[in-house]
Amino acid sequence: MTEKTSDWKTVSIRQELVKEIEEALRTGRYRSISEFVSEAIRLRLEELMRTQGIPAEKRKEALTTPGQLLYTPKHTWAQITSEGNIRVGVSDYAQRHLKGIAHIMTDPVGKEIKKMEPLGIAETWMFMFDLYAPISGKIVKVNENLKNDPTIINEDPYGDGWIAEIKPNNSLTLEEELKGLLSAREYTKWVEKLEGRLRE
Amino acid sequence: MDNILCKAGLMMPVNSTINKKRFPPCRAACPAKVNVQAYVSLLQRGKFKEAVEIIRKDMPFPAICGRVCFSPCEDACARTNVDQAVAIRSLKRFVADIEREGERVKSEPIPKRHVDKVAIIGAGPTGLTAAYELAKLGYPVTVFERMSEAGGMMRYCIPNFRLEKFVVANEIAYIKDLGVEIKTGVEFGKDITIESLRKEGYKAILIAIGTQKGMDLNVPGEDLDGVINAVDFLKDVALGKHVEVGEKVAVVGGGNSAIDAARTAKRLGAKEVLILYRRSREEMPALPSEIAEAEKEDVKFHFLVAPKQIIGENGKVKAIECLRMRLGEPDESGRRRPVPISFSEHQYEVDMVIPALGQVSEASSIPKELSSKESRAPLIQVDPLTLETNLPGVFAGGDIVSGPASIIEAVGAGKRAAVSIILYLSGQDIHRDRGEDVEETTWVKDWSRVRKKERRYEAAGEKPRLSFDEAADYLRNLEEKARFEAYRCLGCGPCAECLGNTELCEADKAVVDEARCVGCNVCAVICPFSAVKKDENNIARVNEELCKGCGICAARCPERAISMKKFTDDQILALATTPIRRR
Repeated sequence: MTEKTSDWKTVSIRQELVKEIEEALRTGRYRSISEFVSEAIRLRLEELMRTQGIPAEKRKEALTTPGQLLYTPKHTWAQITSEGNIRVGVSDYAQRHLKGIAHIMTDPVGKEIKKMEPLGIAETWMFMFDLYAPISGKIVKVNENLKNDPTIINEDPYGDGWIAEIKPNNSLTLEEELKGLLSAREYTKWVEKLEGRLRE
Repeated sequence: MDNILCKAGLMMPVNSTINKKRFPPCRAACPAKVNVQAYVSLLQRGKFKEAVEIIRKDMPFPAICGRVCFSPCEDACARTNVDQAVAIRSLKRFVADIEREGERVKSEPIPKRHVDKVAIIGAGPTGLTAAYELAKLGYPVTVFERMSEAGGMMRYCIPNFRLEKFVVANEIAYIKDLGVEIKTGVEFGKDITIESLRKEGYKAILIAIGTQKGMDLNVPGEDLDGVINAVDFLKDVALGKHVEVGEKVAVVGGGNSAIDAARTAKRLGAKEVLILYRRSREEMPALPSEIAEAEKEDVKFHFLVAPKQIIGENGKVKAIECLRMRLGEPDESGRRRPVPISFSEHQYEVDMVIPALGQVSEASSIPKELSSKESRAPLIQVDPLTLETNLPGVFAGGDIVSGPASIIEAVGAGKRAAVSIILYLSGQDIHRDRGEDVEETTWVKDWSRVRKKERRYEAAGEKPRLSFDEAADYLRNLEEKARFEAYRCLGCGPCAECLGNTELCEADKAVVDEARCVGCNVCAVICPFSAVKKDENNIARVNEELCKGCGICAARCPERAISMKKFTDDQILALATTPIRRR
């Protein structure tokens, strides 16, 4: 559930491949080597799952709902950072509703917020969507890149599209609050239920 | 029997020649001749994407006009003979927004097919529309703009709560992506001149610099600290500057800028905002919906008052002294002239005064070589049909020619200028066929027989605040309401000219039974697309490329010699003789 830096893996890349990656970066197809490698790993996983006979919907779910995050029923995710803060963003389901995104407005750094209360608004052409905090605490960081290019939320909702970081009030309430959040599997079921309900 | 239902489901008058210069009243009233009937008809059938495309054929700002146009189309809508006008502007906003809500919209660059470069000065609605039209036809266009961003009054004068900045930026990005180059931070008269542009190889120039200066009140005390013209006030706010607003603010004027300034002052923290207007409520030029919104926000209106002087203390505004007015004889504009009532001086205690009397041009930015009328607030003189100035190849349009007007009038001017430039660059007579004569038409004869259906759809002023789960349901609901509203449209015009770019008119073509054709030529006369013509043997021949399958010729042929591949003769006759029931 938590992501410690020791869980990270170092990947070695052959020299010829590095040249190819640099070319891809130069032409703007990828923004960084790590993005290229993540994409390559994702494609490899997709292929492996396909050869093992895993059906398409399950493959998609595995790849669009990162397993190590926790979720709120309001479609925001929580991730513990190396500093012990909680990084917040919106899920793929939310991102699909934000295709017409104009901008994200968040409460400023320093603001105290409570769990399941709005910490910001996503404005699209037709709507204003409240973004709900997964835990209580104080906002310590806000993703400035979203100001210039809010579409990062669509491209990478779980990575570069993070919205804010919250410092929890204390570790005891943090544990309580995290227990109340949904796991990836629970969240996926929740989304399926919502989409099924809409189809009725 | 007057009408036939064409495949598109539109009503077409059969017993009259369909004349393309006949427009439904909505389109006739639009300064840019936007094809209202087509996009409303497409909306009825849920063809939202096609509806936006049809709007974009005529002008590049569907989302902007859907928010802030003063909608002369609605004033002209024939439905006002029955109940209320169709909510044309709101429907335009609906299709423009729903297109962008579902996907990011981008245009593709149009390959350049001409060598002659065109320079456009001013990236407001006139300049950008002209650039749009020229770029679509493959002309290399460069737009020069003084401010740091394009948009003109759309970007720097209309407040964000009426027209979001990202909407303006997005609509302009669409134009840029077509291949239009926009150079910002360039001032006409300083960085570039007509001379310098000609030297750089620009073969045609359009001056569309608008009227950027706010008109002064011309009363004593206007130079006190706390007096700021509405144009400058709104521009500072649009630039993101921190603007100090007084506790009690008086806005002088009755147009949309006055309302915008008042509502902006409220949002910036003014406790009390007054609007002082010298005529009565009925004469106020601002949009009634805007006046209503301002009243809801607790802006106080004072009618029949005009400022006499602004009173200050220690160089700062303390009060504004006004005279009461009464309405006298009508002036040149047709409105009754306000006449001051003697000894009626009274004061309003305010600490900020915002004159919002309209705009004038900046005399210094008009080149001396161009002839202009009036000396204090000159407007460039042009040929009204071609927009050409006294210098060949130099055109001017928009507010700098007409005086301050609306966005859609500016768009119309941009289109007219683009046509002139295209004719000029291809060596043709720029005066040919430029006449405006358009005839209003409707097929409805008896208004009392049209069933009433109240107008219930208005595009939201404030966006709804929802959760992601509610969005889909909300959209579905809105779609239903919009389609219902679109069905209120009576389809006044003959062929809606949906241009067959839809699947509405299925590609069923007319087929002539040569044995029956007697060569009377009625079909050729009546075909709106000129797709039927008599051949050397006096038999009607259908040009399958032009035929849109509307079925009029088939219904009208006295010999029953024409049939549509799908409909039999009897079916067409049955259709033509049944009164059409609209939902």
